[in-house]
Amino acid sequence: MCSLIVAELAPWLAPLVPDLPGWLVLCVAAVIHVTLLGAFFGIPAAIGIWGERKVSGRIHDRIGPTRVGGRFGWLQSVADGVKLIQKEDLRPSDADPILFYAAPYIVVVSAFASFLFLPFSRDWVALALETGLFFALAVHGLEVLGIILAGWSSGSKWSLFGGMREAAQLVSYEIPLGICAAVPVIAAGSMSLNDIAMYQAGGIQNWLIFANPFQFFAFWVFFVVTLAACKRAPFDLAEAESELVGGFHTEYSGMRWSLFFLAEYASMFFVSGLAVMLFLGGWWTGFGIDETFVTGGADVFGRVLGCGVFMAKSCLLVLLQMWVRWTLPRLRIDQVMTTGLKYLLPMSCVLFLGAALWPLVVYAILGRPTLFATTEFVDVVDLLAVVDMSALTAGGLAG
Amino acid sequence: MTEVLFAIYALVTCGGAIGVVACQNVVRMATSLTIALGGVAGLFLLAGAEFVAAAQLLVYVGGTAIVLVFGVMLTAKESFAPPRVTPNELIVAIAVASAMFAVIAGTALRVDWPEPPTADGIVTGEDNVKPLGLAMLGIRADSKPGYLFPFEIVSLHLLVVLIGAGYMARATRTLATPSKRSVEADASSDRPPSASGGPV
Repeated sequence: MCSLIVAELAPWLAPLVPDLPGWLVLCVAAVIHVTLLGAFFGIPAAIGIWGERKVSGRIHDRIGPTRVGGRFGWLQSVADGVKLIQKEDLRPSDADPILFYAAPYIVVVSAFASFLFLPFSRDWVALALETGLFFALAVHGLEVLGIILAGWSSGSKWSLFGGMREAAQLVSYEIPLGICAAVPVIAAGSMSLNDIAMYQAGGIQNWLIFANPFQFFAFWVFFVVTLAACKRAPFDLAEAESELVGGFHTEYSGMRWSLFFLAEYASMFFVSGLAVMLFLGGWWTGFGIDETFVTGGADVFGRVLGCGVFMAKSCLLVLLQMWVRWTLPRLRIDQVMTTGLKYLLPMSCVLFLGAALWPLVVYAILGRPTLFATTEFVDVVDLLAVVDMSALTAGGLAG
Repeated sequence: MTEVLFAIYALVTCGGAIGVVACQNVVRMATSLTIALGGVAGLFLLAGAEFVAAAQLLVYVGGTAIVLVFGVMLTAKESFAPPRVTPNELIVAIAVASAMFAVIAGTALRVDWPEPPTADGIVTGEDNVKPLGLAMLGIRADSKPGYLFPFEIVSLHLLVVLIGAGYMARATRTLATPSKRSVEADASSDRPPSASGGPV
């Protein structure tokens, strides 16, 4: 379970540059990987912005961009990027200089760093940690600091209100996010995203969304909660143009403003990728034929296929997020907090409890932990054996 | 390589800590504290404790520091005049800080730290989380006592704190006295303007 840098990139690079010391080869391999991840950070944003305008156009019964770059407006994102780069870099005189300039970078760094833990295909992950999911959620939650600082340091009341509202929303939705992300961990038995995806190999019946009804509802609750965590409508109070001018990014212009939105689209792709990993079978197609590609010698082809499948599924979820945005009206801040703390939090607790009890009940009735999945259940059986043994010894000591 | 990374993370942590003390602006102090806590998470990662590093980021940086920054921002006044320090306070502060530093540094240098398990000090994080989770349930290898009881006590403690905080932060309403009841009734019948937003 080595990471891509250590396992593949560095050994591939070392024979090419034999006179460099080992640590420098590691650094160069890390730089290559970070550039690849930077591409995954920037390109979904560019495609996402174009897609958003097309999807919103169609839902509004109009066409969307058609002039820049041909019939479909392919180069609209490039035009936007050029426009934003050449804008004047303003700072209000009341703004705190260091924090005002640092805040967009905190948001971008947390959104970008969360891609380090996402496996794009089998073993193609920057950091293969055993607590990958936990770390990804922790790093993703650091953007709240950037938003608070952006809101406060702009020196404007619109920014402060927007920043405070946004921070309250993000912080209160982190709890159901964590609980809903823990629900598939119960079924798969590991917090490593690689292991969770490997658990779902072998066919669509093994996808964790179908493991039990609690997992099914957990996927939808997870989807709604990640809409709030990415500040997407109907939870987009930060960009509530009709209420707060621009929320926390009112005073930002040009490239700094666009950094916030790059981070938002990258976040959308990241949480979609996370949902695909946790519930929708990761990089497996669901037909059960993928393993023959991977184990039958066509290793790289199997992995590229997996990467493509993963990206396609994530893009479908991003499309779903955009569809929801342009369909539903925006929630008020008190409605957002009510939904999060009064409805989604108890819901996710109940789903967690149910998902924890379901394998035990089914095991007692049927003799195996799930109804129709066909993966190996080594972890659950081992755990039950360990619990039996410890209960025996504890009873023996106490009695 | 490990030494270079350790130096970087140590610089970040100590730099953030010095920033807390040296900044004049309260919000910048809170941000420096956040940076210092992030550096500590990096040090945990270097030591191979992935779970603790993630928990540090999630709980300290993503929770405690955020609440700290919130509180500082909402309670500090606009003009951040740094507080005046009298010479007496300066002397006492230097004495207390030096004594505390002597105690901590002396203790840390006197402990007989165990050697790291591998030659270059790099610890892999294999098989880190499952024993931790099982230990929290009271199941540890070699029949050592688990952590179930402390876990339950800490959870109850947190529940008490949460309920107490929720109780103390509840919205209180003043009781209407009989002579003012009509005035209260008039005032409470005014609805706040609905914030459903202007033209979408």
